[in-house]
Amino acid sequence: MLWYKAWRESRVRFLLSAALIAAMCLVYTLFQARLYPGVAHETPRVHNYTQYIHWTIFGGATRGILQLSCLLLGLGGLQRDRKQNSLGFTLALPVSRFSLIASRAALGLVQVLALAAIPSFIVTAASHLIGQQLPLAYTLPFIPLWAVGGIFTFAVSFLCSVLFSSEYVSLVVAYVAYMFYLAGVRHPMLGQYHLHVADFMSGLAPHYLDRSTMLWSNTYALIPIAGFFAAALTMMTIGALVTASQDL
Amino acid sequence: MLWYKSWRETRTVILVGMAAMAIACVLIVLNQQTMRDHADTPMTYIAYIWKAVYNSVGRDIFVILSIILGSGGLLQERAHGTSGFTLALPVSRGSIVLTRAIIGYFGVLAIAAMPIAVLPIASRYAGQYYPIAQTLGFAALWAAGGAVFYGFTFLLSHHLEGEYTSILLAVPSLMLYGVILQFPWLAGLRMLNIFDIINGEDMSFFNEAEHLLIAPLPWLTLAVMLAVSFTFVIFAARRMQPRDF
Repeated sequence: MLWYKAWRESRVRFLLSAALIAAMCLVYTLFQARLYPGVAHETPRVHNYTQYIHWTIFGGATRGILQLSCLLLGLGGLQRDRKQNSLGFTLALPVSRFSLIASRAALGLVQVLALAAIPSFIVTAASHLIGQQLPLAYTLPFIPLWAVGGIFTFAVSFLCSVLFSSEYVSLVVAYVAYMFYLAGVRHPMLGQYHLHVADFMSGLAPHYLDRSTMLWSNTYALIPIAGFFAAALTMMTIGALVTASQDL
Repeated sequence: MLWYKSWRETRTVILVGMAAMAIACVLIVLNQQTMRDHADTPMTYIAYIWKAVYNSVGRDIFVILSIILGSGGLLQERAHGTSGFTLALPVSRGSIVLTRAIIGYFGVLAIAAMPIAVLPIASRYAGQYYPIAQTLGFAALWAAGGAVFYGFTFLLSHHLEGEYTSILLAVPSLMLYGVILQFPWLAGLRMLNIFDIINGEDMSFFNEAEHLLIAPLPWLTLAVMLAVSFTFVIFAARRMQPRDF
């Protein structure tokens, strides 16, 4: 029941996000003949199809849409129920607050994982249709990076949705905090730690991809994946603890 | 009363947005030496400010905040069950929509104007100089560009009832607009590219070498952008008239 409630509350956002990501993958792949010259002209690093796909999808605008989708999926929860005067119904359910927030978080993780998996299969299939070769061996390793990066992004807005009662304020604070974080970790003092989640999702940090060819290097480090996942779990746990003690 | 209602509904977003923009500008200025020392290529302070504020973090914050400010409205109030109270007020639906649109746009203007006050003062504190005329010029460009982003999301939010749906659709729609502009037959129409207009990139009124606005701003283009935004708002207001709620 709790899963179904969480699904009903977030399904429009999720389905719309999935459709958008799929559409962007299809547009960038199927119309590559028309779009490639413009991208290659504006981006000196793009010299072949693989680099074009990375620049537009796995490390570009499509990744940005996934990040935005994850920020939006993280919103909601008891604070929103309070704002909509439906909190009494939710809290009257014979379950703990922790169960309520855990079901929302768990469904969010599944949704982010599903969104992260979309490009790998669509891009490979669409590339085959237009006569280009981009094997699953190239696209599949992005799934863990996108999923964990997306979960981290999801956790930022998830925590904000617990702390702020207004939905739009939660979104603004989450987005601003996320932007400050992305800008902050670009500081030279932090550069060596590879904390930039967008670079991580793109495979650029810490050197999953060879920057000159955009092909996978031999190292597929698991520690950054575990690190971002642990950070996300920490934020969601804080959210759960705050919710448990809130006077709603 | 309507003005106060709209202000109450949007003030936190506006104030958080203004504070975020101010803090972003201050942090960018205070870290200028470190960031310039570690840049791939040497750059002047003016170039650094343009790249950090007007072509990167500041612009990204501004664009998304303009989009977020444009979301929300009577349809979302209906989803929350409060539209009845709003519609019971002795004013037309058009007045409700237009008032909200104007207050929201003032919010966009306020966020766009933050660098005017913050950049010159923070630059002076950091022992640098950034011309206030430049901040005024970029604020005008942001005000016009932000109006289009704001108006477009405002229109979407008056067609789509779902929460955040207008935001989720506005961003890729604007991206799609950017992609369409890359097609060869549109590439020559530079003034259609809102994303380049708001930071001056590849524009005749912007000096790429010095990263300064050098010529009079394209006032006609900016006026057209404001008119387009106003048209979006009018369509949003007309959309609300026949709705059965």
